[in-house]
Amino acid sequence: MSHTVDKSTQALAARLARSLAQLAQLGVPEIGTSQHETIFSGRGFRLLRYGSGSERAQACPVLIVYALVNRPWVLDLEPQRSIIARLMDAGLDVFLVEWTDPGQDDQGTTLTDYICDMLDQCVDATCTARHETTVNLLGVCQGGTFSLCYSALFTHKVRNLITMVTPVDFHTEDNLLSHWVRDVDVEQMVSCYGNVPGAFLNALFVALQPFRLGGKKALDLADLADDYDRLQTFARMEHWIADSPDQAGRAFADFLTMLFQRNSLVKGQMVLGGRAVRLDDIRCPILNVYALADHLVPATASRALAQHAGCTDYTELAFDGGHIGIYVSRHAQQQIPPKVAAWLQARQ
Amino acid sequence: MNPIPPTNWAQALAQLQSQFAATLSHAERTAGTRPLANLSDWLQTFNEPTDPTTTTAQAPGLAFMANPWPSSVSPVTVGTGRWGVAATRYQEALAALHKAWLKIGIEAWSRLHGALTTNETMDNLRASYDLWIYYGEQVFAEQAHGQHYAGLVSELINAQVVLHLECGIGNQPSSDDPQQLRQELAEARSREASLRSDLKTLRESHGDDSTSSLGPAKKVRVRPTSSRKKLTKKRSTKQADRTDAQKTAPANTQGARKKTVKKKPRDAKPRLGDSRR
Repeated sequence: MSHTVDKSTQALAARLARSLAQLAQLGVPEIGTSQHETIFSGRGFRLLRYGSGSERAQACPVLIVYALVNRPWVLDLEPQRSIIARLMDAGLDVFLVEWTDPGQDDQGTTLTDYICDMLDQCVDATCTARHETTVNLLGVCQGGTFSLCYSALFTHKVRNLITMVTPVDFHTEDNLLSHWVRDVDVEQMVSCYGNVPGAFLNALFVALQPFRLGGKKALDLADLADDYDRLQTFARMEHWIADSPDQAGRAFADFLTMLFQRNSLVKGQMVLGGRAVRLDDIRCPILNVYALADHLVPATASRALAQHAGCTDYTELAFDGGHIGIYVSRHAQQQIPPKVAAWLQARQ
Repeated sequence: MNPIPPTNWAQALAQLQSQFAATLSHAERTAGTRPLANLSDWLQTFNEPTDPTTTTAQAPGLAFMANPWPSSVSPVTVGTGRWGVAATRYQEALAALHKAWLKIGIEAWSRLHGALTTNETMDNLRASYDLWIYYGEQVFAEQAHGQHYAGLVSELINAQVVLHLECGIGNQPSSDDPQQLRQELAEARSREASLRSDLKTLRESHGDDSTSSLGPAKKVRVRPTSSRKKLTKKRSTKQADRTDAQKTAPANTQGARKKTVKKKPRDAKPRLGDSRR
């Protein structure tokens, strides 16, 4: 057995060494390469519109609201792994809210600012660009929670709502992150750092699956030897994972306290800008997309929406994968965008 | 780039992981990538269990707690009087989490050992390593979901923040933050909320459905059964090909366990006729 293990070790070492050498030869990975333009911007955000040409006006529009955590480029990682490109292929006119990095002067930016002001401006700008009065929202992860709040407060501006891997009930038993941060003194953290370092959040996310993300991922690189396409994808993913922006301190504290610690949204106790956020005020059709193996936002946390939304037209779409896989896996590319587009187009 | 493979597989993994992390952190195209949690340190924990402070904080998942000091600051540059209590608290929090990690590691190792012992054909290095990951995550999940472990993590975070605060590390709150403007904005929003409430009351007093005048939500809320059927029929016609394709697609493709698109029946929303408003 010892002899076999030795040979196996040698083979693994050789493959890994080859992968590393090839990885080092690759250039800087390009991410977010789908054609787009900035059609509107303000303090804290940019509104992007994808594609070009007059045919966009005939397509069904959708405004994607991404999370503050990490960058939205995971939705457009590379041409063959791009939810955005697939949505366009399926006939949608895609808009995206890109949150910009908070500076020192943004430490006091609140959750209300993000949802009731910045997101509202993006919705209005999208409506203007489309010559319409309402939008179709697609909220991703934390952006989905933003979209839910917005849809509850601005019912007259949202035609259809799609939530993707979106936490709704933050206190489900399997929500590990929620358990961990329940007793974190977030006010003290914000008073210390001002804006919360993105690196801190990154490290916390890795800590949720320490063996897989800290060890297995590295050794799995050996499987990618001589496969330059997959090595490129690996490099892009690593680049995206590490590129985590700081979080505006006040908004971070609001989100952590209201949602992770108090679970205010499903309790009907959330207040933004003096207005109560009630999920049963959402009357527009909802498509709730969640991942069955999501370690960040457990499916149970997402599916809670069914019990709280006030709409009659509610649909669920379960994806057999994880929180990242739902953006970038080939399986997701084939499954999710066509169904999202079909659902939307049926409700135009 | 061509390591001489050691005979011990654990050492081999440690060496490979270390080499990988070093290469990755220096590779130009991954600039900005944080160093990976270091498996070699984790494995070393078992080799040198008597020296916990130098190893456990760098175990997978704890790398972010390995060094509470930003690169430009070290404990020797700040006076002990300012940070002594905070430093002690941090050390205690770290030691407590280290203890929990040792427990997880030992249990995972024990399960792995049992599996390898009972499976004599297990002479594949990669399969052994995957088993180690499997049992590691298994034991970790059992422990990490408990209140005790959550308390350890949050205490370590809180302790580190206090330590930084005591030492004046971190971004100072901006002095030119437009607090007055924000206050006025908050007040304006509050007035808007009040006006919206008044408007709603007025509409209700006149027998008007306030929501129904606001757009598409009206159609969903008040749509009679007949129109719902009509919508369904229309959708079926428009999307016939796609729907048929979905229905006939194999349920298990490319590793899929389950693929469901569930349309919630109207009756499944008991609160629809029981609005809280």
